[in-house]
Amino acid sequence: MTSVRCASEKAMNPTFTMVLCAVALGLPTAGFLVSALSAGKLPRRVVSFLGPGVVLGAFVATLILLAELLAQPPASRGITVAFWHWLNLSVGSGGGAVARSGFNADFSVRIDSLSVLMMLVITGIGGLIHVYSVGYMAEDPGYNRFFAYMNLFITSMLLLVMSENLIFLIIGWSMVAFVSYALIAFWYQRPAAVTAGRKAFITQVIGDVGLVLGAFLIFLNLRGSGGQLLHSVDLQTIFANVGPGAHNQNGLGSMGGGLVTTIGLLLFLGAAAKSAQWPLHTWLPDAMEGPTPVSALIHAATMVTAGVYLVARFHPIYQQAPVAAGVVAAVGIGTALMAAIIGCTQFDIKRVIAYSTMSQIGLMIFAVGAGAYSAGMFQFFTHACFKALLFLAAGNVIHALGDEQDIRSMGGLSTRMKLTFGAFLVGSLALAGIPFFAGWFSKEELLSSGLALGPAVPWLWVLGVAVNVLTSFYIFRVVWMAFRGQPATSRASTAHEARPVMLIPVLLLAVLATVVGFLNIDFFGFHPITVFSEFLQPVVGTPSAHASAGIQALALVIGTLLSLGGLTLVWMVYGRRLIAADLISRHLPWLYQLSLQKFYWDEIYDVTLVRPTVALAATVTQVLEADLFDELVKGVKQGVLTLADDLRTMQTGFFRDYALIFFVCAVIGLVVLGLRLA
Amino acid sequence: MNGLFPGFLTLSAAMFALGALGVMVRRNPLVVFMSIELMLNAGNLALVTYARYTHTMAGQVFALIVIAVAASEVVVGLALITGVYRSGRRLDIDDLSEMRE
Amino acid sequence: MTVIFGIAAVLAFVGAVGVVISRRTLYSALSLVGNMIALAVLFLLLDAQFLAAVQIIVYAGAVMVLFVFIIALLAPGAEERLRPVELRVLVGGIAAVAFTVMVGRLALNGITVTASGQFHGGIGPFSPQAVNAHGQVQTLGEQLFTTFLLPFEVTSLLLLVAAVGAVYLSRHRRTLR
Repeated sequence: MTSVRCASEKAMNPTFTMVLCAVALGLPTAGFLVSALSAGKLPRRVVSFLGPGVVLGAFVATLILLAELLAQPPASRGITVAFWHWLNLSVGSGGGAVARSGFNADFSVRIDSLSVLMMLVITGIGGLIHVYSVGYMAEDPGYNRFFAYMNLFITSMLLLVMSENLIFLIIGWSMVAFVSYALIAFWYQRPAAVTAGRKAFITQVIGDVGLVLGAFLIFLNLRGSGGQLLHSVDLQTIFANVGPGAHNQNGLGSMGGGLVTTIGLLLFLGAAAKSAQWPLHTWLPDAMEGPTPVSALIHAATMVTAGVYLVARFHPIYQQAPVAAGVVAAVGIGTALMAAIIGCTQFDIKRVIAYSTMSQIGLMIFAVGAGAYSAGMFQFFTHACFKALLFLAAGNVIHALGDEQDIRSMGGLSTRMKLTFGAFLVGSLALAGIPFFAGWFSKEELLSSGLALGPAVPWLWVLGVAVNVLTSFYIFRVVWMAFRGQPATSRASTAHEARPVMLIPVLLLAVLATVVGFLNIDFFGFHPITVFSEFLQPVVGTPSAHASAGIQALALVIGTLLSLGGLTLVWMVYGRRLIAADLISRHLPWLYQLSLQKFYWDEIYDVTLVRPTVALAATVTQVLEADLFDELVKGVKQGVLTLADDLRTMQTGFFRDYALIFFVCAVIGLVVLGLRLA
Repeated sequence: MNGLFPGFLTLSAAMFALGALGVMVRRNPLVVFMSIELMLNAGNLALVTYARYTHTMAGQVFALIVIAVAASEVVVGLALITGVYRSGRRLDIDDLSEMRE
Repeated sequence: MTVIFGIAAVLAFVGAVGVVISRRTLYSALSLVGNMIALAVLFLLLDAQFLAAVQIIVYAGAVMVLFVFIIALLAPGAEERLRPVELRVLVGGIAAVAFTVMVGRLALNGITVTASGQFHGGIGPFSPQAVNAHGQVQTLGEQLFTTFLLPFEVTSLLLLVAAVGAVYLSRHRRTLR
């Protein structure tokens, strides 16, 4: 790793890279500052150009970075740019090992294929969503505030993925949590939105604790090649001294050691909170209280995938901790299945897509946990495209119906909103994994990689395929209920197509959702196009094992057929009505209830965590506050009063008494003094 | 002669203590005043004793000044007592307790 | 000399006790006169002849005559008897004894004398022989009007204020309040 860095610093121009990074980070920051500090005085037209403009500017900078990166040979794709030195506490004056043993937290960014991929999605998809927001939020009184938050989110997210050191990664990590809170609770007049924002933020903080503890453990235990403690928060230094190639003196170098497993699990706690994985998943559906562009940007495309990024970025640690990686994979696939089951019965269009997001991220988490980092990131990439598309198309529908989100109130929209319908359909096809749409390539690659790698046993693949069927079912259920059939309400019958500013980003995303899959075709046992996995290879390496071509092909055929089967099932239930829609609810009511009530997780947390906490707080209020502290204070007050009443009698007003007290005290002083001296 | 130095000082202390006792226990303001004079005289004795044994003059000078101050204090004090008596009150220092809360 | 000191000290002590314990105010005053005369004798022993004269003239003469005059004017009756068990008498008595013992102890081996019997700060130039050779009153007067001129002037101001105050307090009116 270290040698790669040295070579790359010769090859890539550090100054030019630094300028590009500064532009990418600085433009959204400037946009945030201008929008925020102008306190709504800025005309809307200016903000309409400023808000999306800075993000698209950052996107251009990222594209140049990408070109610069691709111009290098694969081995030297990676550069660390230090902006300024910070917290430099190095001990010793010499260079080399002595100087490295000190602590410093430089503000430096890492430009390699993983971070550039994330930056592309954040600024590219983010830019499209910003443009869309110009139309979606046009009538909102908090227009400037909205763009200020959105720009701040882009800054925070870029900081998270670009940071070369743990401290700034954690800062970015927490900043996105804050902006997420601010945007979920954007309509602060709605109690539900504020509650959802709080819920999201508190859950994020639980994850932050895990991430910070994991970072502490790394910091405290990282040893260099000489066995000395490095005390480094520099990511490349950490990865260079962890993992299979590293010397075994530290607890981080030993395969499957307890320390490295603990670190892996703690980091995953942070990842699970950010990516809405069980058991910290309940905030994501509630987060749909925020504006739809927020859902598309933060709660579908970027922030929720930060957990995937974290696991992929820290893969040297997970490669050393098979148990932790296994937990990651198991939680991922479990969450994917659970969310898919829940998605089948929800009626709120955004919530269905939210559960779909949770489910798809579960698949990514499964992939990175199983060691298929490239496949996981590919799924992230395609998912960002088609999920943002689905949210924005849903946003068009919601906007057209006057903030109606219940699919039972929709229907028949395909004739009135043809382009939106087409875009939503493309997104659904991609999500469901129907052949030759983006999701098909990524998902089949992901499942076949999972079949071959890590702790995965065939039943994990079976679960993954089950997720696929359910995904196909719930998303086409939405398509049918919302866009086909007869309008359920008068609003649905008079809806009209969205404005161009909202339509163009949707259509662009629809194109993306169709084509990005062809970047990587790698599941037939042979691999004609591997642009994507080759691109990521310098960072995450190549998968160590492949299942045999025959098994892969079989898996592909079965998976694809089952996805199509889900589509057919929807057609039979909602289109032809060959199967009654209430079949499950009549014959397996417990399963239906389980799904409708979201597996009762909110209720479980309410009973096990919230209520005991509230009860404890109430008890503490009563016992400690009222009975102990209040009584203590009252006692002090009473004591002072009593004492004062008693002491008041000393003030007799008799001159003789004062003289007596004075004299006695003087004599006592004299005696003390005399005994000391004599 | 030198051996009498502690004797003079102890006598001075005894007179001072008796004067203080008089101030503390007697209720007649005239006696209280006389006790104060006694304490002043005790102080004078100590001053003169030190002046004599350290071969300085300051003690005698201050004893002289104390006598003058005592004289003026007696003048004012007795005028006050006369005033209190003329206002119709008993000559009891416990009656003069306007400082009580 | 020690004998004279003993007699004078006993008289002074008895006089002081008499001031405090006499039930009649006039007896207290007479005890104070006795105490002051004994004190004058002690001043003579201490080579302070001028102060002894002033003690007799100002205190035993003027001040005590003023006291007796006021006593005669106001004619206060006998105070009620002090109860020996009264708490203030007990506490005050203990404090007074403790004070005397403590000062005596410090005077014997105390804070003003070094272990070798010398005074801290040394001995000044005004030995009794030097003073007597120069003249007792002359020496005191020179000191009073040179080194201690400011205290002297302030004292004179105090006497003036006291005289004015006494005149103000004694003027005729119905009540003090």
